[in-house]
Amino acid sequence: METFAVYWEPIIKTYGIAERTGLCLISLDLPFDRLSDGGACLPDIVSRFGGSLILIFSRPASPAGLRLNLLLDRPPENVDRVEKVDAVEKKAQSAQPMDMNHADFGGVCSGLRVDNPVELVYFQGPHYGDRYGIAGAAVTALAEHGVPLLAVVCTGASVYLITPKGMACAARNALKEAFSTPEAAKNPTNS
Amino acid sequence: MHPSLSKLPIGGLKLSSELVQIRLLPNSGFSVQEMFRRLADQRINVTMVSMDATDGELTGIGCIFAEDRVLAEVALQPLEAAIDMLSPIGALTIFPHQARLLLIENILSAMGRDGLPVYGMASSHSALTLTTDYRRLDDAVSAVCRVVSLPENHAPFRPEFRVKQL
Repeated sequence: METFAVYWEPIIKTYGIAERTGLCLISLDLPFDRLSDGGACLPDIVSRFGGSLILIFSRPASPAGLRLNLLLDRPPENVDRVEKVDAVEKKAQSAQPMDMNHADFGGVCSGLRVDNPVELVYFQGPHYGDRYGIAGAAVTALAEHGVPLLAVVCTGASVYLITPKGMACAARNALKEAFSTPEAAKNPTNS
Repeated sequence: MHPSLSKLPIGGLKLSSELVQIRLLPNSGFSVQEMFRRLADQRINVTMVSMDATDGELTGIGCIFAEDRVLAEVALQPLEAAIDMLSPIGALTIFPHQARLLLIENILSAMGRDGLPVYGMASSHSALTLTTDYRRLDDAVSAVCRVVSLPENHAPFRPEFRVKQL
């Protein structure tokens, strides 16, 4: 049972491209067989960095687990705290990465990595969940402009691109060249 | 009852049709752009993407519909050593998650307790999508429904039709 639809757009439309800066990306490994315990660790991890959750995403990681990524915002009052935790983690990683991380998260998670600060560019568009080529167009646009990516997350009609610090504006400009935005549609000479 | 044991309200639960999860392996020498381009050239929709560069190059997963598998295998033949395909996969989308860690914690715990695999996750501002074994999708719904409450007269739904871009 299928419905076929035909889209033709000279440029892929978006409902607008937004960005956020001053975020924190936490990555860690969770064994498949400790999923239940890993779920219970999430509040500890997030409270430790003093932020609130924006995105959660994961993918399989060797040898038998998930690489779990949490994108957190950093309220201004917690920026110092995140940077202090970040510094401790970097020190810990160079010294005793596994033991330190296991101890801190009840022996469940390992391989903690903190990218801080990072930035986010995101957009939605019509029927993106049913269309091919959207994520590829976004990733290609950034690659062509030399904008590095830390992560790509798509679900439903939403596309999220996480970049290192200072790159969100360049990412947004690259996307504005590759995609149509409502502002560009209103002012075609400005696009 | 302890608050963390109460069912958490959600707006709905959506189930996918059968999917294949494509994984671009770490440091494979092939870029994610090339993988996406080859799939787009064959008009294959990647319904969910979760990729990160924590191992260096962008690596991670994308899901396609099961009926696109043969076409995708041909399209990705030059990348054969750089990818693997896992199937049958089913996706479970919970909305809205409202950034509630307790909700995510309880869902992962429920899946884990029932021995249900979670092969990937991707969230948006509103929805949280998890991939699991398609053959156990009904078990996954049962596990999730132990920790969430759905609106009255709402049942987890599967799409009755699919829009496909030509």
